[in-house]
Amino acid sequence: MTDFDIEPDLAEIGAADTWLNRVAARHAPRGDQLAVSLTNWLDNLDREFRPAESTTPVSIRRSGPSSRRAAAVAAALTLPIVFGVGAAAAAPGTALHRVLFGGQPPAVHRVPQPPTPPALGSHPSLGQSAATPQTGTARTAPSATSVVSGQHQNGVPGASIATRSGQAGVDHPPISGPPSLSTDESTADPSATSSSDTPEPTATEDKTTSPPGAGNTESTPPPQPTLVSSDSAEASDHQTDTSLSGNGAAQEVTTESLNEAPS
Amino acid sequence: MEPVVVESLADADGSGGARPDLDALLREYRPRIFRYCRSRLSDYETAEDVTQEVCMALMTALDRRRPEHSVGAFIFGVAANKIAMVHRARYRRPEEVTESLPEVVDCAAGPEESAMDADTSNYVTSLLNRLPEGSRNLLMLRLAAGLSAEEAAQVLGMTAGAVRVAQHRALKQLRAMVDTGGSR
Repeated sequence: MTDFDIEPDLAEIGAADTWLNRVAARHAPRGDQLAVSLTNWLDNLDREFRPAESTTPVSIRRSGPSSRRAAAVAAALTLPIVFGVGAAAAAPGTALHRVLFGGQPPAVHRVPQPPTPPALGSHPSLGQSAATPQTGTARTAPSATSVVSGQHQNGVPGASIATRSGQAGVDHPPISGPPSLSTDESTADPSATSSSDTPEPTATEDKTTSPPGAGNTESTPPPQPTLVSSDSAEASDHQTDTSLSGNGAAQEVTTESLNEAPS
Repeated sequence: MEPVVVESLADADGSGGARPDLDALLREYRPRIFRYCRSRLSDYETAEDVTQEVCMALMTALDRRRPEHSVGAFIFGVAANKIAMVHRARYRRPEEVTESLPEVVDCAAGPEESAMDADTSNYVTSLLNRLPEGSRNLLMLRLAAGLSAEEAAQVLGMTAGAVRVAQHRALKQLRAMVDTGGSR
């Protein structure tokens, strides 16, 4: 039987409890070696302790993320709008496109068709441009009038007006008769306003020999083959006949036909 | 050192279980937690880590404290569990013995005082290590943690009388070791 098997006295138990409380409170009784050793041991433990900087819990959440978040939201909302507006402006036909770039239709470049060879031309030097019937849709001008002035060698005034209607797909037979104003029905109409179509010499480019009264072509001899200037022929391509083609019938007097006129 | 008044915070938080001020609680209990952990653990770093873990656990587990338990008993109950986890981890993963010792910066006093302190600490540690685990833990709770017999009884799940009897027997064993010369 050992000492621990014996039920301890209550007084000893109380004394031990008091002794522990004093040692824990660093009030060890002097002369007690165990108490001094335990006190020194506790002091060593206290010296090892390093107090923390602060025991206050600190939130590590960054302050001020709201500004960056707001900027990100603004960018996320703005960028699609900007891109959408740009795409709408780039698309033709949209209202925004018309507002930004106006109502101009987009420019379309067309390759001009090559000129067709003259149907009746046998004199290549007389200006193929005047003799070439302009048919088809290659030319954008709806009609063209070739005003050919005839300068006669005998001084007889004779004005020949060659009209050509540029109606597409209509080929007019060449007039074999002498080119005169009588062949043109519209020229007899005094209401013709085009100065170039009037039988008066002033309407033509021939300003030299045109005596008064020369408008009567019936009494005049057949005119000489008309010398067609290339300048007038070329210029005539750009003229638009609006008065002579009023009856709907287009006449085309080519230089070839004038050349074939009886001399 | 002033005696630790455990009941001060217990009274401060009230018996109704109201949550005390965590900052004041940690400011008062953290040195004691470290002292208890250091007395139960061999190295300083592990004791520091366990102390920090106990403080972190208190921030979340303090609301689960039962009203009949004091704050000190609750805190050191958590600390005892953390230390037990460290011991279990060491048992599962024993440390490897190395030939070269790591360099440790000694911030303590001079070599003579350090030798004396180390001698004293080693002497007491050797005495305590010869005690049974239950008796050693009980004396650590009473001396290092500064708990009363009632609080230690709450931590250990014993009655206060049983704690007093157990501590009396542990002290008698220590005295017997000192009288016989102990390991010194």
